[in-house]
Amino acid sequence: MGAVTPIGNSVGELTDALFRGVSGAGPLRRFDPGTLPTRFAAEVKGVKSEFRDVKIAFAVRAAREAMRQAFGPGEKMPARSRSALSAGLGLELFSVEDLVASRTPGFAPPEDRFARMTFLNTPSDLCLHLIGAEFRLNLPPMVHISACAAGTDAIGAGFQAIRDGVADVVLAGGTDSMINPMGLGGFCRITAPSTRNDSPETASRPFDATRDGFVLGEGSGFLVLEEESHARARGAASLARISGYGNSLDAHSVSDPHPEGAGALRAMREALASAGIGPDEISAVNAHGTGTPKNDPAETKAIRALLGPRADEVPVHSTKSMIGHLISAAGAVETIAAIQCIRARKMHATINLTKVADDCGLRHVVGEPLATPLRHVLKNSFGFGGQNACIVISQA
Amino acid sequence: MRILSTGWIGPEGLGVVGLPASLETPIDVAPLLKDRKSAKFMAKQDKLALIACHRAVQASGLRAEALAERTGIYLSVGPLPFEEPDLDLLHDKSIEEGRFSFRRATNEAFQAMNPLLTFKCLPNMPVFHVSFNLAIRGGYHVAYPGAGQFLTALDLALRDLRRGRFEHAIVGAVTDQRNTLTRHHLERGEPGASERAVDVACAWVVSTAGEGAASIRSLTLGYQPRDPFGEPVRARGPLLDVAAGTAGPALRVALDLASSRTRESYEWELEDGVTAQLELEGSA
Repeated sequence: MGAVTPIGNSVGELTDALFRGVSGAGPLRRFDPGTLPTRFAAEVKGVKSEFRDVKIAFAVRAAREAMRQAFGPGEKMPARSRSALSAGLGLELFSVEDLVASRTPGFAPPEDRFARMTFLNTPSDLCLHLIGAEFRLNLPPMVHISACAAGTDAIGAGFQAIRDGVADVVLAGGTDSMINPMGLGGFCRITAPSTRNDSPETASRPFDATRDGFVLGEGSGFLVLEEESHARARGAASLARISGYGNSLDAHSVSDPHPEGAGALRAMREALASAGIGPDEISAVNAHGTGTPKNDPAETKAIRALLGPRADEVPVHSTKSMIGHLISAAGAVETIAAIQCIRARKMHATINLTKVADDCGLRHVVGEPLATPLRHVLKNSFGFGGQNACIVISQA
Repeated sequence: MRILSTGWIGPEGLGVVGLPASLETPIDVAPLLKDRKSAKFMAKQDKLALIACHRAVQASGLRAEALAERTGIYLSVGPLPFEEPDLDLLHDKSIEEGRFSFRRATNEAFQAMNPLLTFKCLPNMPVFHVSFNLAIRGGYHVAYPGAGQFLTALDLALRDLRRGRFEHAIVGAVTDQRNTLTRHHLERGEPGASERAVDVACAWVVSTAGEGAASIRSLTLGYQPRDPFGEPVRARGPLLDVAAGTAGPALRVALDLASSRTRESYEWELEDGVTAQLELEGSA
């Protein structure tokens, strides 16, 4: 696995910070937010990017860490393996600065091909081609732009490609950064992010009674998924298993989830069926848990409907409470968090959850990490436009 | 698997060979909307996708009840479009003494943006509008931006159908290219391409059973990673004379089916590095 996040630029750093309950949010440094209603975010720290679109650098770095762990330093995909990339991608980066430059009298477009390909807007799939070439992938990349569900969809599609027998190895994950004037400005216009400017570290408050929106984050996460016999043949050890996947459409509202969580429930049930397990076998839930007024109660309803009588027993947490909402990378990084919890036999807490909202009643992990064996963890991701994706992550 | 039907929208007179007299695509989505108020959230790409998918579903003869949760939507979407008036607004409110001003941009330009523009910029919105207006609540896959991504979407759909996840799949591609930002992107890939660019969408209804236009015997995909900063790769294989972006392969096959000129085998090498061989059999 590989990760670049607001609380650590490797899986090890991320894991350490999660169990210490560290928030990655702070006042914006990348640009001056002026009088935008939200003037803070969860930014990645200390990663230099040769690309103006930093999510490209995040993706390459996370993919390299994952490949190094799976195959050793400097290794590519094994020559005879059928290998693919499955990635959730964020929006193209659009530069208003370049727009102004392009309309200035005497402007000459850049001649250098690198500069031309990143002037005005940068295609988001650039990083896929760079990764594909570096690691000699030989199957087409599966690109997912299902917004907040994209990272989970990418992992699910990778899992399914291996299960269907069309791939041996899939580098699956996501990358995103909308921490730029257009991205944050756009979200502010629809009043989606928190405006807790005086206390960014406490602003991401999933399921809390005083939550007021999500905290915009950025980063990347990648996992090397490998068919079991293929891994065994080369003596590779598994960290965990992806054992099921489901997705569904709400067909309800352009911006709001179905209030009863109906679509989310269908996706969760499909993921369990795909894994061949029932709700009574779920050990924990890594929630979508954005901290928005509408997601958290709808997700709560769906989880309660799924778990039935066990709804007050199965622990639930939200990684977004610490790293913010990584949009297209969220599902991937949160899956890595869930895997690290499985391996450590404990769940990180949901920070900033001081008073559970009346309509968000679940068994929330608060305060200290919860020591508990975790056999099957359900990971939820729900995107704008009612796109719901869920995977089941199991012990190795 | 059967291609029950296809549907598309593009310039009038669009054919496989040559350019139509006008490259503009007339769009009227109003009659298809479940809720007329949702039109304000729709970008051109959303409207194109809905019209093409609706036409394909109508032509298939499938009723709404047959779709619902037994259908998946698999769409490939083109690069981010941005219309001139919106660019003008951003530009005019971001300059100070003739130069870009971060202060003005964050204080004025973004505050002046229509909030609905946020939804119009989200590339996954075509899937929402299709699912909402056609009442489809099964699964989805939404990809971007090259012609090869329509074929990976088709591959995913075929595997889902074979596995029995769904009975029907709406597989399509949509691209709004006649706007300032996408034209800029096209020109850096192939100078002159923007002059042939069209706004198009094409959708196929693929099913596990039923009679239809053709059967898909096989789809084989490969990949040759390309250097995104190197010389652009020119696509090879049966495509159209117009530049149809991600919808190119889908539209070519659909137009061939409509004119009974279907090939048994389509082989492509595409700009995004995807290679594909699609084998079809004629309808019974």
